[in-house]
Amino acid sequence: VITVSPAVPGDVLAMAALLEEMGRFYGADGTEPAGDRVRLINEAVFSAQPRPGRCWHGPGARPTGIAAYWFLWPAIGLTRSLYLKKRRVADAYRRQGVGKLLMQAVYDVAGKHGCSRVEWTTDIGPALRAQDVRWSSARMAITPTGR
Amino acid sequence: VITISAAVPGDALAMATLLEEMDRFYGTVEAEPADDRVRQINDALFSSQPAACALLGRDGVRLAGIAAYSFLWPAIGLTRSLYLKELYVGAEYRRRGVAGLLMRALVEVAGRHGCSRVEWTTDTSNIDAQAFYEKLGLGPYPSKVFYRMEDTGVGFDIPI
Repeated sequence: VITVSPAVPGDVLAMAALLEEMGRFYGADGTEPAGDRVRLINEAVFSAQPRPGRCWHGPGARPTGIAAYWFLWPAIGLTRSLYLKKRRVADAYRRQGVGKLLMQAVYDVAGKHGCSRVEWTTDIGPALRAQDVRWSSARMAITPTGR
Repeated sequence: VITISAAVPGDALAMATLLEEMDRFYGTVEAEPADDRVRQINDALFSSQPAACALLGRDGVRLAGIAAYSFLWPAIGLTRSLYLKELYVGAEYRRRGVAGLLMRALVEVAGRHGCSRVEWTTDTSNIDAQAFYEKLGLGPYPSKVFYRMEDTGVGFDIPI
C-alpha cells in the first residue's frame, strides 16, 4: 500500500535518490556530488528560514512599494528558484524608479540564496499576443477549510 | 530618497494599507477588516517556516513519489496560494495512482492553511502530465504570462 506523508529529515537520502531520477527524466546529464545534494535538500526543506526578508518597501510609515517573493524548490539541480509573487509600487511613487530598485533587490536576494532562476507571472493584457505565452499556470479553486 | 529594505513585523499595518490599494487595483471593492489583514500578513511573512515543503509517497521504506510545494503570498485578499513546484512519481510506480494520492494530500494541506488557490506549471512538451491534470478537470490557466530569468553563471541583473 502506498501512503503519503510529509517528508522528515530521515528521508533526505531517499529523496536525493528519487530526485536524481527526476533530474534524468528532465534530461540532466550530470548530478552534484551526493554530499551537496543532501545539503541542498536539508537547506530547502528541513531548515526554518529567517523571519524577515520576504518583501521590502521604503522607509518611514509610508511604504513606497512591495516585492513579495518566495522560494520554489527544486529548480535546476536542487537549487531554488525565487518566485516573485507580487510587485507593486504605490500610486504616489510611480515613475520614480521604485520598481527597478525592487527588482534589483530581488535579484540580490536570489544571488545570495544561490537561486538558479527568478520567475514571475503577469496578467495577459491586450498588448500581449497569444504566442507570447510560453507557459501557463493552472489554478484550481478550492474551498478554504481553516485559518 | 527611496530605499529598499526587508519588511519587519512593525510594518504590518502600513503593508495592509498598501495592499488594500493593490486589491483595488485588481478590482476588489471591499477589503476584510484591518485586524484580519494584519493577522494574515503576520502569518504569511513573520512566522518561521522552511523555504519549501515536501509530501512523499511511500511504499514501506521506499519512496514512490514527491510533491514539493511552497506557499506564495499574497493571493486572493491576503490569503496564500499553494504553489506545487514539482510532482514526480518514480518510474516503477507509474500508473498506480500515486500522483492522485499526492494531489489529494496537497489539496488537504492547502485547505488547512486557508489557501485560496493551488497553482502549478508543466512543460508544454509533457503531454502525460497535461492529460493527468485534464483528468482532474483542469486546463491551462488562460490569463497569465509566465516569465523566467535564468542565472547563466554571471548572476542576475536588470538590462535597463
